[in-house]
Amino acid sequence: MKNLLLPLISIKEYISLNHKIYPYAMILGIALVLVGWGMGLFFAPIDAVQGHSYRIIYLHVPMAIYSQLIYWFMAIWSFCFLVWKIKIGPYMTISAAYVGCMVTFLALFSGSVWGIPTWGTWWQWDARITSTFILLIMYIALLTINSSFQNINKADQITAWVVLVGVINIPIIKKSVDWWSTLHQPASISLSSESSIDSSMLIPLSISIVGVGLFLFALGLKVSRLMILKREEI
Amino acid sequence: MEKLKLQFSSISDALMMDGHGIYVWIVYLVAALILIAFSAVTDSKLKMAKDCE
Amino acid sequence: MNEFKKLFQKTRNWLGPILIFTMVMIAFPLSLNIYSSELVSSFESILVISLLMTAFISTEGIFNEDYSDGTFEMYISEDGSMFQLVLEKFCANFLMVSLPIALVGLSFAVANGAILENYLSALIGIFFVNTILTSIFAFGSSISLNKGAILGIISVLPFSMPAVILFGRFLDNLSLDHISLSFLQLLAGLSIISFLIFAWLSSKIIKLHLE
Repeated sequence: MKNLLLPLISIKEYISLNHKIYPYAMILGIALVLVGWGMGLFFAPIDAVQGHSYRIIYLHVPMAIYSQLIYWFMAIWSFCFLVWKIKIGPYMTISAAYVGCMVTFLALFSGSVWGIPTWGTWWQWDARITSTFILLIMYIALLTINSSFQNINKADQITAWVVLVGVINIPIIKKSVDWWSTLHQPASISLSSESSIDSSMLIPLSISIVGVGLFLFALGLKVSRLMILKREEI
Repeated sequence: MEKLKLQFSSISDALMMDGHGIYVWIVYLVAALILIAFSAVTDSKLKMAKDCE
Repeated sequence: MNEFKKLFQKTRNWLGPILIFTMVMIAFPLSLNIYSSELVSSFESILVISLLMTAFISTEGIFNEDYSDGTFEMYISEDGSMFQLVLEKFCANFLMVSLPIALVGLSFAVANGAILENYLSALIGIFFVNTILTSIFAFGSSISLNKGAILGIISVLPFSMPAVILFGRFLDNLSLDHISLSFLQLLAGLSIISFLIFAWLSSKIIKLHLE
């Protein structure tokens, strides 16, 4: 247990753990992404309604899921940092913000392109699109706040508070489809109930979700290492 | 599971995707480019930071 | 009471936002044909945007003077509660800015022919939404104490979106006379929660700035 908690307290321990995990996460992530996307693009059956354009789902859904999950990840680390003063908290929060910003942009971009053949428009002031766009602005704002203060400790603490306040937006995004009128379909896959998607489409999608997750995790590890290198002398 | 089989008869078929290929391929190419660029920029900055040490 | 007096003496800080709000409300019909039906249909969105704009203008420098002249530091060294001080500032702002703006907003709504079945509900609704927005932007102002207003605004602008959406629904329901007491209670509850939470958060951030 002590060995597990050590990287949370000591930056040196975290860096050595980071070095150990990074290659596995990166290689496995890339492999799973290639398999998932490959299966989705070439082997999964065509959708009866949307035709081949639905194949964007294998990129759009993982990105959309992680755009929100990353914010929760940031919120947990911010909470840990503010309550227990865990040293790596700010590094995890900010590196996740960089990755989250990119992922949210990709979710919006892929959704917009998918909208052209499906809805006939690339943008709609639909509840989920708008709230995801607000999430992107939040990521950018957090990065701006963090880089605005000379005093790093002050910047980290203020960022952590703003991250925690911003958590209120995430359930709104998640529930927006049920609450407001929207073009989006309800979630096709769920952990708690049976999925409405066929297994031949679900398998590549699941592989893509896991692969993209591992790849983003590896990217986050790399960015956090860069931040530590820039800020601290190890 | 049995439905999971190659859906295209040729490369041009896979590229065209019944007219939807342009949307699908643009999304995947741009995403791949952004992810690779992000990773590469971080790598080069890491290298620079290490060199400065 | 002390904060109320201080704000009252600084006429620019409370009268400025009210005047700006009034000017936007005057400018709106001028940009349209006065017989246009758009006057009624687009009034709601102009009201929301004007409230949003006035909320950040009225809170832009809410803590700046006390921070730069050392009042906050003195207050902390005398073991005063920062939360209480911020609450007083918020209350003064609500009475001196939010309430008049709600009244001005309502009178312009009537003047522009907006279909409001229940004027009292409209007044209370505008006041509560303005309270929520002002609390959020005051929090933004505490973040950007010595960094200019832009940083604070961009950091908290996303948080104001749910309030804007809620206000839009409120105005929709109001025009259809579907407004219920429970909707007003929801707005009241949210404004009290945001008032207390953002006051507490602002006091935390100000203390951080002072460390």
